[in-house]
Amino acid sequence: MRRNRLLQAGLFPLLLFAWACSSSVSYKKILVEIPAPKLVPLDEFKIIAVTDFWIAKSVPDLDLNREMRTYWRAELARQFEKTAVLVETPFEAEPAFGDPAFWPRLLSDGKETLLLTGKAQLTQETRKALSEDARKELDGPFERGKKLLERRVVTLELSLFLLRAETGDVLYKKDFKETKSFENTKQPASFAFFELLHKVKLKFVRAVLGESRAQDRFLISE
Amino acid sequence: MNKRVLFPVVLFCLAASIIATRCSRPLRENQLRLGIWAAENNLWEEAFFRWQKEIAVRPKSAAAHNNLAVAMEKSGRWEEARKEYEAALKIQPNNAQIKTNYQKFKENLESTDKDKEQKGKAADEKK
Repeated sequence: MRRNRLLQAGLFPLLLFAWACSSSVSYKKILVEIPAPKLVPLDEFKIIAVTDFWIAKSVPDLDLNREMRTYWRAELARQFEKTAVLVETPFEAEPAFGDPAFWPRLLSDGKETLLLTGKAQLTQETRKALSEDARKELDGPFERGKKLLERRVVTLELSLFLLRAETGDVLYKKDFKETKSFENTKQPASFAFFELLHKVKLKFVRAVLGESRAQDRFLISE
Repeated sequence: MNKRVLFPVVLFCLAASIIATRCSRPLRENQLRLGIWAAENNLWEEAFFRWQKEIAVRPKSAAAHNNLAVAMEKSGRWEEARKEYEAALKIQPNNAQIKTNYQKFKENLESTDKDKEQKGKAADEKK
């Protein structure tokens, strides 16, 4: 009788141990460097040719086309690790970027050449906005009109095309729009231009190269 | 059989069966766990090998298919990753972790698809 009770008393902890032993973590969340899919087969090209850009409206004190060409030539050579050259393609009208027949005739030898082209527009405007202080003082009826602040807003709209020079096929096309505002309403647009262009470049290069980003994923052990 | 003897015997059998079934799980899951350890230590080829081995033994392992999909994503093998996620979800359609992984996988590809759409539009502009 006593032996049986002892046996039973010993078996209960054994059961508990067995149950505890069976419980385990079933998944783990880890950070994985996952690449984005490459959009352009860069390995197929040896040269990157930067054409002229179509500028719909010129900006005072800033040669948008020249600045863009110089910037993209230097940046693409560095980022894509290829030889980058400038090609003269003065446009009389807005070119048909999506027309494959248009591009091969511009280059005598477009073999293994990737073409960067596009259109750009830099606009500036003055906007009025309520200042932080003014929002707090909205209860005071005489304060409203006095705290309006003027801001200079500069916007860069840029459409970039990567084309296979030999055939004129569009390999990549994207429209970018970046904005920056200044408290100084006399700030020239050229002041913001390179900052906006740099923002575009980061997005463009990330998309084309398929740069990896750290992302969460669950690994399951059942 | 005497009731006094029967009860401890049943209890013992129960304990033994729990140990046999539940505590043996880690042995069965060795490949999965080794793979996870390898992935955590950035040894993705090893992890890949372990999870493939697990699938060869247990093709209905949703965990192995899910983990293999993550390894495929890591190496940029998008179509294979999609197939593995779909296989995992077919086996365990309500598994929250697999569903989350698959959702994030699709989001990662989404931006690329949008870019491709834009490219298509550009080509159609002239037509």
